[in-house]
Amino acid sequence: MKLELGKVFIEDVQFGGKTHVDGHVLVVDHRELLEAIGGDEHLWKIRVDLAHPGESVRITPVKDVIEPRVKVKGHGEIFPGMLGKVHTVGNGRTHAMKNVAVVTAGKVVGFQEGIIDMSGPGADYTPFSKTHNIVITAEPKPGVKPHDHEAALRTLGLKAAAFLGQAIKNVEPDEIKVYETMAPREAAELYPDLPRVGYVYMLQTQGLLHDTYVYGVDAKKLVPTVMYPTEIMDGAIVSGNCVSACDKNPTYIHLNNPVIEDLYEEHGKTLNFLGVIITNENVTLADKERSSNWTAKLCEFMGLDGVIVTQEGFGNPDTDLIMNCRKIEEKGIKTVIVTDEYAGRDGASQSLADADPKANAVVTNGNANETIILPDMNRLIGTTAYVDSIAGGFAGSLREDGSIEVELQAITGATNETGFGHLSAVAY
Amino acid sequence: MVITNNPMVKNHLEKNHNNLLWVEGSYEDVLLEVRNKVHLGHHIISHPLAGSIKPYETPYRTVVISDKAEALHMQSLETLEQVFALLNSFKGKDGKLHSLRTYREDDLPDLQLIDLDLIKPVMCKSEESL
Repeated sequence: MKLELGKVFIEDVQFGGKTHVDGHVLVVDHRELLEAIGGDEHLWKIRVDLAHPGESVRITPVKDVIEPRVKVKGHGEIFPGMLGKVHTVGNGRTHAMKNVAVVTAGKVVGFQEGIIDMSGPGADYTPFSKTHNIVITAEPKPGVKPHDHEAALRTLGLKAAAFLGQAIKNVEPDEIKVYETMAPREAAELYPDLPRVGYVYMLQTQGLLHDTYVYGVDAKKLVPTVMYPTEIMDGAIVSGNCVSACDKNPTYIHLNNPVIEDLYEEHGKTLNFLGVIITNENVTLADKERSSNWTAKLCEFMGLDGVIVTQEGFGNPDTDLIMNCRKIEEKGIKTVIVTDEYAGRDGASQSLADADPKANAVVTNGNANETIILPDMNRLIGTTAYVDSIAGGFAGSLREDGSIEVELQAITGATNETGFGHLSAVAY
Repeated sequence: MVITNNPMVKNHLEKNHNNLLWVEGSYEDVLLEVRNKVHLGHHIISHPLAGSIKPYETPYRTVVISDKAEALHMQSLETLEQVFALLNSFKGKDGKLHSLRTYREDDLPDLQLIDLDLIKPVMCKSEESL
């Protein structure tokens, strides 16, 4: 399967008449956008705001972040099974609007959502301080239940990203990158001397605010399966996950998964990238056993020599991570796990809730318990009414001067477990 | 059997006639009760830790265990020991698990709802296996 990904780089976003791209500027017709996303029976008071890199703006509570994309050639539409039909995507040509993100914000329940600061110390921790954000806030109509509210807000964001993507359908991209994955036999013949590497992609799947969808299917109801990486670039995996802000994968990160990007970068040079195995993080031990048995079985079935496993979230998913690692290693396949840590504010405590000697190659994306002081911002999109009670916040988080002291956990994408972000470690 | 300190789970189960062990106490008290049951030969069905919610971020916890007690289930015991090791690492010098936040009255039903929602599919399975 082969996908040409055309990247259109945007340098500014402005409101104006008729939504279009003019040079490197995205012009958004506020009314058109509201028309494209409106009409949901559960939501009202829908608002659109812009937030640009470097501005003194705080967005909270953040639900999802989505990159506008559009299918130009090939089967299906972006976000299959969620907006479009369930055609298999991942081939042909797709255009991606770079440096722009749709951010959905608003309270779903009274805790659990994230912060994006567009400037100041918090901006270093969130990758979404570098994008021009089109922020959509909406409130539930009276009596709407949290499940319906979450689903409506999720769909609103996807619709907005798909609508904005239309603006670059006929724009000549600034850069075109080609990603191709062959069937395992052909791939093995092509690079017989290179190690065969696969990616085990763990998806958070536990219930309300903890879900992920694959072609529209609630991933907690799947057994692990194999996907072409390019399907994911076309929006086959969508986030319904609102917890926890620092280490959940917003839809933006599914579309731009850096493990997939880097494996393609090395494909044919140092390794032979054979594909993605998606798996879930369910609540019961039996589900965890079944899913990890299946990931290990699929790794063996694909004839892999090496595997990278990424986690989403923390807590009982640490058990899924370790089970995956141990069982894949027991098949004789070298395994690297990618995670983050909850090691206390001083970083001295145990990092994961589970462990195994076979987990001997681990990449961490930081300690989510570390605290940070976020100074007050001139403009607020959303509300700070929930800052004390969001994950990573604590009593007294919101100070009188408007500054906030929180754990990194409260910042969207701060310790993302696919490594998406701008932070790295330096040894000295 | 469902072990919980969550009133919303209790209400839900009383309607559905499930096997319930009510704990009048904290998150940790629920896990201690689970450990006692595991020592008696019950095995855990749902993982004792919540997904992406730290033990000090919610007052509520619900865990599903087997109805029947059999021989000591080592995997259940090992899982619980790891959970307690983690829980202890979050405790203060006084040996107590301190919540860093004051829960607002408005938030409590939301925290109860999340705990209930995460355990609902497991309780359905548990009912089937009765």
